[in-house]
Amino acid sequence: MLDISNLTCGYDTGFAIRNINLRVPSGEIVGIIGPNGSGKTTLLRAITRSLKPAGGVIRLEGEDIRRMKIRDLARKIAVVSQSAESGFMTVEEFVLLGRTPYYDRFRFLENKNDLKIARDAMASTDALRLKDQLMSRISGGERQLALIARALAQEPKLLLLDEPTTYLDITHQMGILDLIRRLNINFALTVIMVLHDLNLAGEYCHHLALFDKGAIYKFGLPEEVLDYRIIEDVYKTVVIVEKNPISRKPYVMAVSEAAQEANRKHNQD
Amino acid sequence: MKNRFTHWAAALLILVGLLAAVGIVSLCLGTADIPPARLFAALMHGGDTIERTILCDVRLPRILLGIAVGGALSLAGVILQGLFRNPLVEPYTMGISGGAALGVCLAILLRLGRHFGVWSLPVAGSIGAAAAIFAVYFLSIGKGGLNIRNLLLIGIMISFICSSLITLIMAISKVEDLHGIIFWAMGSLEQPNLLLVRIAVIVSVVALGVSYFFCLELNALLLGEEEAFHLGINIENAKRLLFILASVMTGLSVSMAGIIGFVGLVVPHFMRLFVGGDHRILIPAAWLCGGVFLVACDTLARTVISPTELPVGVVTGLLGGIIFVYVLCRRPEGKTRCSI
Repeated sequence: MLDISNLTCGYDTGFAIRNINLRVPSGEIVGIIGPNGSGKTTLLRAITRSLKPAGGVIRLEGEDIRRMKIRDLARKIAVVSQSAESGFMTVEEFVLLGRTPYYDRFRFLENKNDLKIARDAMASTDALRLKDQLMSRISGGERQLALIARALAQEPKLLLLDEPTTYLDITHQMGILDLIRRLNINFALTVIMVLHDLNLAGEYCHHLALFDKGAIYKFGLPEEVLDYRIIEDVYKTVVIVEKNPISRKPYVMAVSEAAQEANRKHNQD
Repeated sequence: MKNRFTHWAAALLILVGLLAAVGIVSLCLGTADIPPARLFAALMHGGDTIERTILCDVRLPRILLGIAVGGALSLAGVILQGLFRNPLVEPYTMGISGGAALGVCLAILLRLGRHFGVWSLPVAGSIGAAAAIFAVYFLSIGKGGLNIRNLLLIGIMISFICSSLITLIMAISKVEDLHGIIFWAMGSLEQPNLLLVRIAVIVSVVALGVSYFFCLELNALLLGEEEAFHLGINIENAKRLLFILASVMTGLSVSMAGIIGFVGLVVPHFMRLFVGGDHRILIPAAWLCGGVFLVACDTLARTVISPTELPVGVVTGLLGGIIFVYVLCRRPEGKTRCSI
């Protein structure tokens, strides 16, 4: 599906991700994890062509994305980011903007097909009930649903999400990630998402890519990547990794300084 | 959604009707009132009657220029506000009109009218506008393309520089020139040269057509530049072309009719309240409404204390500001759709 080879890409400030190699197989959910400022979002921006790579190639279904038209790219890759300003439009108007890459030069109005796709997208994200509400008046969780619906209206093959669970409570976090997994299964949608929560990443992703200082430190199955030695090395934090008793997925627990101290004392006694 | 399109069509019909009504009223009113009943007869049955001359050579061109300039200014406002996602932007905050005004003042000061005739002021205005546009444009091009925030700040600064220079020119110019500068600066739709009126109308209508092709780009830009890019919009191209388009329309308006403030700010806001922020309807609606507004203001300006004429810029400022504040305050909070 997506094949990144030797990608080097960065900003004027000097920060860059270097020599990234990553293969995302079709139909998978791949989680990008790593400390703040390790290059996770930079990778997403390179995939969407918002950033120009200094070297390396990104291929989407075998085709170099830099050779594709922006509009064609938008028909294949949809992005859910936290930066979208939504202004004073209804949820339905907002979702319909997802049809933008499908309009022709001489077609300005959405047709029945566009409307149906937008409605279906809202239905599958449970946003249909919100369709006539203003974007500025819905809650953070509902806004996330609308954002995902708009991305689905693009009928993408690859969905990129940048921290889709930030600012959400645990109900909505699980709701969004369950939804993403359903979309992944029902529409054979390939998903790449940046996540901060290691446990959610381990729970929902088929593979994880752990970023550190602009490079991929480790790529593999959640149980391979979420190893306590690796996490402690990258995050400089003492952790314990156990298994979730139901899902059998790795579960990372951070240990506070005070707890470490208490534990040491306890062992000495 | 069909529903929405019907609303749009209705809004456009109402605006076209309003434009026709304002046009007819404006044809009838003036120092010599022509009752509507005689209007048709005077227009149709040729001859060299005085009424026909008044209508065809004086009032009609003035109305057409009003529609062209009003439409162009409002459209420029819509485009700039969409580009900057800032509801306070309009052609006059961008330094474009400042440049045009400076050009015209220089032309008056240097008495270019003696050498080049009626063309001197519009041409000087356009050159001034173009100079300001290029200064703003090239100063704000950064490494990664057009930097919108810089563009705005540089625009405001150029505006200030131009207005200081104009004050300087006024301070050193002779009394008879001063009168010309002040009158021009206050704005007027009186344009004796019919060819210029025709050019204004054609440019304004063509600009309307061209900007309509960017309605989807402007809609996507409501979400922010990176989001628009994710939706497959070539934003660098769109920004460049839209900016040039807005500049041409402003330069044209200012050089033909002087400084007519507020149209580019008030009309787009007003239309957003009524038809919403979707540029597919906002663009034609704002153009039509700009025409209606400016022709109405101009009719007021030349009839209120007839035969003396008020500067139309004064009327647009007063009327537009008051209507706008009134509508905004009456609107229940939260339902305001004016900010983008």
